[in-house]
Amino acid sequence: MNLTGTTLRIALGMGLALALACGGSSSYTPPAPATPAATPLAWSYTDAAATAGGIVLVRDAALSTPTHLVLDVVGTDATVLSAGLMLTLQVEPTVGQWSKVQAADTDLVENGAVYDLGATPRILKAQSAAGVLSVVVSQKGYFKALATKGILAKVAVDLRSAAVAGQVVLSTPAGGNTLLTDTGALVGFTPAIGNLIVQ
Amino acid sequence: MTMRISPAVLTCLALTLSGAAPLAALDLTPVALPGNVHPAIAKGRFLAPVDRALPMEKMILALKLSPEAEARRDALLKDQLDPRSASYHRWLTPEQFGRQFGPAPADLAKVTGWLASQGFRIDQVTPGGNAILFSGNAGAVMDAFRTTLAQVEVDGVPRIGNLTAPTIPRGLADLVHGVVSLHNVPLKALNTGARPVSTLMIGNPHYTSSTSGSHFLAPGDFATIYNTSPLLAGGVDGSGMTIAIVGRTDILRSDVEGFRQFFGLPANRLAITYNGPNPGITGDETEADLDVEWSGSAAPNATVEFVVSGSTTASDGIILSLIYIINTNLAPVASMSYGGGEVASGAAMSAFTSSAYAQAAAQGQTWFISSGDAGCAGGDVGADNGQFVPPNQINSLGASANNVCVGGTMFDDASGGPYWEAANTAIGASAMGYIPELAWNENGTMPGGSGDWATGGGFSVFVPQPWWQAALVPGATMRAAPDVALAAATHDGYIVAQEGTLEIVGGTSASSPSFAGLMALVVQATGQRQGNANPILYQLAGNQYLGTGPAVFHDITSGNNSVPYTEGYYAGVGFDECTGLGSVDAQAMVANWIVTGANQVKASITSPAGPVAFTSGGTQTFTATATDSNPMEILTYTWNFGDGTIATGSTVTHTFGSTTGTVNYPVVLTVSDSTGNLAAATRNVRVASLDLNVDGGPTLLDLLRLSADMSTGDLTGDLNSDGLVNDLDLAILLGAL
Repeated sequence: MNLTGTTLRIALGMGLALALACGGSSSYTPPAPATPAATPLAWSYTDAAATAGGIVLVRDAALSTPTHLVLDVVGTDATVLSAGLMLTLQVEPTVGQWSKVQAADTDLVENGAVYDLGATPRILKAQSAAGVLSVVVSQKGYFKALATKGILAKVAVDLRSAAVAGQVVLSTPAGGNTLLTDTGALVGFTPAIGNLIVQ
Repeated sequence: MTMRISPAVLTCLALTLSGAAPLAALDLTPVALPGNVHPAIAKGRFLAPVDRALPMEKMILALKLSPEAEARRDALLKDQLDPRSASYHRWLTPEQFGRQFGPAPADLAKVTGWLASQGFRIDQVTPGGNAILFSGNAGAVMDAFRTTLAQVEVDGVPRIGNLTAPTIPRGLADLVHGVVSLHNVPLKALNTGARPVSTLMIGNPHYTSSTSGSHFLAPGDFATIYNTSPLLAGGVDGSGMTIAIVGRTDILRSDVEGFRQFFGLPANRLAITYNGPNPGITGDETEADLDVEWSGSAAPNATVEFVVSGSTTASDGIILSLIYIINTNLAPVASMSYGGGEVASGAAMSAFTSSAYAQAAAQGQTWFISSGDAGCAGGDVGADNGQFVPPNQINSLGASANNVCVGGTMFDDASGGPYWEAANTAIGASAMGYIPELAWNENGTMPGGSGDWATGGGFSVFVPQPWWQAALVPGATMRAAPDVALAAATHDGYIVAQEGTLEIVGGTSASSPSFAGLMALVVQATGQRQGNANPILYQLAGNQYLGTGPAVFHDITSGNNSVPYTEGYYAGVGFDECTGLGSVDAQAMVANWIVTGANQVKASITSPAGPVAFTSGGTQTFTATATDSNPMEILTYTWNFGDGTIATGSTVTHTFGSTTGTVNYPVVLTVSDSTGNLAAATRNVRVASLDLNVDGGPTLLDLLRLSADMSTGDLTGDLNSDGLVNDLDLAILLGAL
């Protein structure tokens, strides 16, 4: 272990206190320690406003807990036909950690209620590193593309125990989001992301 | 022979007394040569009589072989293609042909003597003995041939032509077919005209555009679609070959060199021969550029000999160039992209060209002729004005039994696919592979089409069915055409450099020189001239269509060559009068060309037995076997792996590295002996890439691309190279992510 300067100073201070305690009266009784108020931190997410023709991230109230925020990737435009998407999200890694939506899931993404992924192997895949989560959810082929309206996918982020309260940056890198349209084209999009706070 | 001495004979005798020609017994009674008035002249507007002093240069008197000589000639032509014959591939020189089959010297003297007696100058008796070139003036022509020459307006252009059928003396009737032409109505260049690339395309690059939906043929596209790529990679690229092209205009050498440089073809492969005075650049520049540039595209290392003969008042420069190429035995392969309907061109033209191609075949020359661009109506009556002449007819210049007539196809790329990459390679290519074809017919309804354009085809009215056509065209009595076909539509037109710009051209003018280029590959690979290629082409097709031979042809079964006012023929299984036997897979054609020479190399790749596929690279051992008909020969095995690597030996091992994007490597084995005979075989190796989007590595985004490929059938996502994009490929990609 490498002691930092701060740690060393604390250790020296403790030694001095012990010496004083031992060198004084033997009947000394230390005061009872103060008990801090227990206020566990929790996610607070305000849904993004739906934009015309857009894809928005909406809190899944049913699956979310104070420290396990499930975000529904919601399509809002039925006129856009699609067969799948790739989504990339980034959260401060000291605050949040991407996790399975539900414990029984096999990956860090769940299919929503729009796409029919067919039999295994399915195009349902996630990768996570350094706070960046990339997921793909897609049908096999685009001939049966569907209206991009409804929950397309679900992802989840857990609150780290070391998190501190405050605003959290939840973002999406440019070029990280793609929709597979009914013509087979891969078209970029920018999802609308709400406000994420630890409180 | 009649012994009657007519007054005309007496006149001739009197003339002969002062000359050397033995005309004493010549019967000068005029015999008409029907069918030798050009319809355009006959229908034209009379302008004025011609000046009797008008020079008539290089007229062509077509000579007739005796029936006995013709029978011997045809027997020889057959024997030259029969491996069991002592004459097999023993080609003649023009002089040998003339001596064996041409008119006897006494008969020749009779004809030349009569011409001289009429005031004509003898320019040349062709070495092959099938024509006499002579010059004089209009007055002499009218007197000697008892015809009337006049100035006539044809389609707004003043022309000179004979209004009545010419005659010849009865005493020469057994020796002379007639005068090939006594007019200056030009043979039609069988192309659709040029359109600038820049006006057809939106943005760059120009040659394929997902924006406009237009695709044009660059040499690299042709190599991909008709599968010359493995041949070219293996050195079967026309090296040492010469392709002769007929012409009647000069061209800019800089256009040809620019074209070759632009599309990555070797430089300095053009030779121009001026047969007489250089006529300069005439209205045929498009045709000439097309022929020269595309024959040399199909066989990039071949020398293209462009022969330029200026047209005269009486003779088309094209025919003069044809005579030159045959009688100088200039090249093993030749192409001509001109024509005229048989009805219009007349019997003398048909007889002359048939005789000329027979001589060429006996010399081992293979001639390719465009089938025409006016569909079933023939090639000469203005494909764009609807004035078609019944009955159906074919191109007179391509109707003989000893030339290959090349028709036109059109890529059926409007559905299915994709067939074209979104972007071009560095040499302007974007085709992804073979594209299904239809019979070419762009009667103004196709995007990019204009006018009444369709592949020429039908039956000759003069030439009986050749022996080699009987099996595949049963029941016919006359020669059917075309024999083969290649792309000709403006829909995916050929790119041509002309006057410093890139143009798009269609027509069977494109398919004929292109096929000539393919034939140069055959000649190189076999090491031998082939003469009339049709017997082997039809044999290969027969084997294929009967299911007993390899697939050499792309059978084209849809489309027709009907034109306004005239119902034509329909494409169908096997031979048809629109596309003949079909287009070809050049690699298969060369590999399966039937050769039974005295010294023949055969080669095959024994291991691996079929295509090889790797995902992200791999190592493969290749083994070949080869034989030479001369067992004393030491064979050299050369492998071109298609990735810039070459190895030698009958067994070699090669590692194919991982690739950026999926890459097909045509591994070409070439086996050669000390005399230059060679054989080739290919085996395809496909190295798939997990990085389908070619964006730096496999990512989740490639899953979406794979999904798209599952619908499009784009084989980029075919990671296991089984020809499908399915769950197996998905599993491979998922496993790598």
